[in-house]
Formats: sequence, structure tokens, C-alpha cells
Amino acid sequence: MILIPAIDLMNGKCVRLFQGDPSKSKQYYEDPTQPARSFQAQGAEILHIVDLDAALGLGENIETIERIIKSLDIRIQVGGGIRTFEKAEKILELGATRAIFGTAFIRNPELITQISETFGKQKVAGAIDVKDGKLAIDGWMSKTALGYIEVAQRLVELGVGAIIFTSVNADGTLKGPALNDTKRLVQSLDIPIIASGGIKDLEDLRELALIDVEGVIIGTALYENRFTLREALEVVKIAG
Amino acid sequence: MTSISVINYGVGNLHSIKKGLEKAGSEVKILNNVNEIKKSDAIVLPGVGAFAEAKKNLHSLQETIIQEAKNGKPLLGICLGLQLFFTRSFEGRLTDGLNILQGDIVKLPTTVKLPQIGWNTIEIQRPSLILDGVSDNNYMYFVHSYYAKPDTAKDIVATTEYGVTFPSIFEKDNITATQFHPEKSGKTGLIILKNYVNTIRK
Repeated sequence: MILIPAIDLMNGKCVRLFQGDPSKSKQYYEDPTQPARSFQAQGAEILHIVDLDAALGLGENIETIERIIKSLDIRIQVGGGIRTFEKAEKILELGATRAIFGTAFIRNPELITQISETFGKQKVAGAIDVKDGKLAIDGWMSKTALGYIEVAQRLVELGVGAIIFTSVNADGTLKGPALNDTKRLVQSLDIPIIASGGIKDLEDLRELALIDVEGVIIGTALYENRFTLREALEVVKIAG
Repeated sequence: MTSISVINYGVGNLHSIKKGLEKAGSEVKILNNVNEIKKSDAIVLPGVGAFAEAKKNLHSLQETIIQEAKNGKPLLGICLGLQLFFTRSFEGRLTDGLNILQGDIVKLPTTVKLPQIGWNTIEIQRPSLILDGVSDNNYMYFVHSYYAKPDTAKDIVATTEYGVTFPSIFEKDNITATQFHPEKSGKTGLIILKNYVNTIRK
């Protein structure tokens, strides 16, 4: 299982939100390249960057994203507010290993297919963000009536190479991941699933590894020093 | 229905491969019991973790696997499972493999980001029943840092490029092995599993 530390950006700073609520944000680093470099030094293989301002339609952190990508050697996936072909192209040209789509796909499903066909499906991940069992969109502020398994299956048909599954209820809470929902998704799809939200300790990582997720995004637990990335990597070493 | 044993040798969940093979039309049991394994029509050695540890965990089963391979039972190795089929691995300390296929397991070049994680294409080197309906440049899903360098190129069915051109599918008589994970490779991966299950029936 791959561990993917998260860097969420707001106004150029590294922050965490509680359950995706922008009014419940906490700033951890003035300069996001600082945690990014630290994660790389500890052995991270992929970094997860979310542009919260872009996700919420409040602005962009593209220069900051560029700065992080340029200052690291490891792979970096980027999400948040990627709703047009041009934006995806820009993110990928900056050197992102893949672009993550959430909301965009609901209103413009052809976009994902177009980008997948242009850049290859390894460059495209679909975000399934679930709030109270339903798909959440628009930076998680609105909930839809769609079942998340069906939506994920649709994303696979459209051409994504991976699904990033986030439990909004768990995110930022340090209360443990949504294991059952994640498991249901893993069992329903035949492409890699990355789990996100709620990780509190190393035991959560062991449990996620057992349900066969490909990777896990870790945010608050690292920022609140529940464990270090280095310790976590010892628990879930991949090799072969 | 064709019965397949997926060998359970410790760490990791084998759900994806079980589900994939079931979708492909076989009956699947996850086993570590020698007698049960012998009864099945085919054996799948899945891929989890580090070579030396996997080899150690496999200890009580390795004679059975080697013997069944000699008896002509179809064997499929996936990812680390493929690597375990070979003579030895240079991952960590030098460790002997099952030597069902001959060659070394060596590290991918450090000029590329390791491990390789993600989708990559295969280039078909010779026709094979398991590639029926699969074409050159189809994408497969890989997670690995090491690859097989066989003593002979004649068992290589497909290759993949990642810093180096390495074999991504092997086939030798009743032995089949893939460095990628067909069970996580979407529709194309399922085609390969279906083809595999069909070859067992024949």
C-alpha cells in the first residue's frame, strides 16, 4: 500500500479543514514546500495536493503548486477545481503525475474521456467524495442524491486510471477511516482505489492494507504528529 | 467449473484476485492447505510484499508448488508471484526463489521513479492464448521495483518499458506469469484472466 501525504492549499498556505468545512480551517505551514520537502525526505512516493480555493471557486493556488512540483523529485497528484481541459493540461504540463477530477465530471463527463484519451488514463484519477453515503460536490459543500458506487463505475467507464475515495464525514476528524464504505468500493471495481479521510493511527493503515486499497492519503494525522510518515512507511512497506 | 487455488501466504488481502478470477468464470478458494491445493485445477501465486519474507512464508508450501508445476498443473504468478517463480532475487539480501523459471530478479534502474506505480503499456513479443483480444499498447497496472531477467528470452510473451525494457508476461508450458496485476487492470485485465481460465479448461 502506498502512503500519500496530503498538502491542502488555501491562500498559498498549507491548511487542514475539518470535514471539508472552510470555516473550520487550521493553518500548519506558511510555506507549503516545507512539509512537502519533509515528506519527500521521509520517503513518500507520491504527494497529494489539493487546491481548496479552486475547489471552492474562491481563487487559485497554481503558482504555489508549481513551486512545490519544481522543488521536489517525487510524484505529485493534484486535485481541486480542475473543471476544464485547459486547467487539466496546465496542471499536467507543470509536471503533476496525475490530475484528479471530482465535480467536473458530473457536469461534463466527456471531459474526463477527452483528457484520458489525450494524456493517457494513468494521468487521470476520479475523486469520489462521500458525505452521509451520497456523492458530495462543489468542494463538498453540496450533497447529491447519487450513489457513490454507481458513480465510481461510471468514472471507470469514462477512462480514469484510479479512484480516490474520500469520506467527507471522516476527513480531518482523526476518528478513523470509513472502512466499510471503502471496502464496498474496492469490491465493486477492478481498478486501483486510494482511500482518504479520517486516518488517526498506524492501526488504521494496517486495516486499510487488509482491504486491498492501493494507497492511502494521510493529512491531519501527520500534521498533528499522531505518527511520522517514516513510521507509517515501516508498517506498510511495499516491495517486489 | 474450473477450480483455482489462490495461495495465501501471509500479508495482504487477496480479495481482488479472487473476485477477478470469479468474474472470469472459475471457482476460487484462498488456501494454504497442501491437500486442498493439490485438488484444484490450477494454482495462482499472488503478489504481496517483499521477496525474502514471502519466500519464508511460502516455506511449508513450496515443495507442493514445485511438484505440482512439474506434474503439469497450470500455475499463474502475479507480480511478486512471478518473481518467486525465478531462480533468485537481489531484493534486499540475495534470496533463492522457486526456480520454476530460470533467471534473476533485479532492480529497475534508478533513473526512473521507483517503485513503478501505475498504468503502463505492454508490447506483445509472441502470440499467446492469454492475449486473445488484447493488443499492443494496451494498458496494465503495475506496482513493483524489481523485474525478472530470464536466462532465456523464449518464454517472454510481452515486454514493458520503464527505464529498461523488461518482460511483463511469461509463458512456459503450464507456467504463466505477469508482472502487472491483471485483477487491477480494468477490462483488459479481466480479458487476460478469462483467457487464462479458458486455457485451464482445455
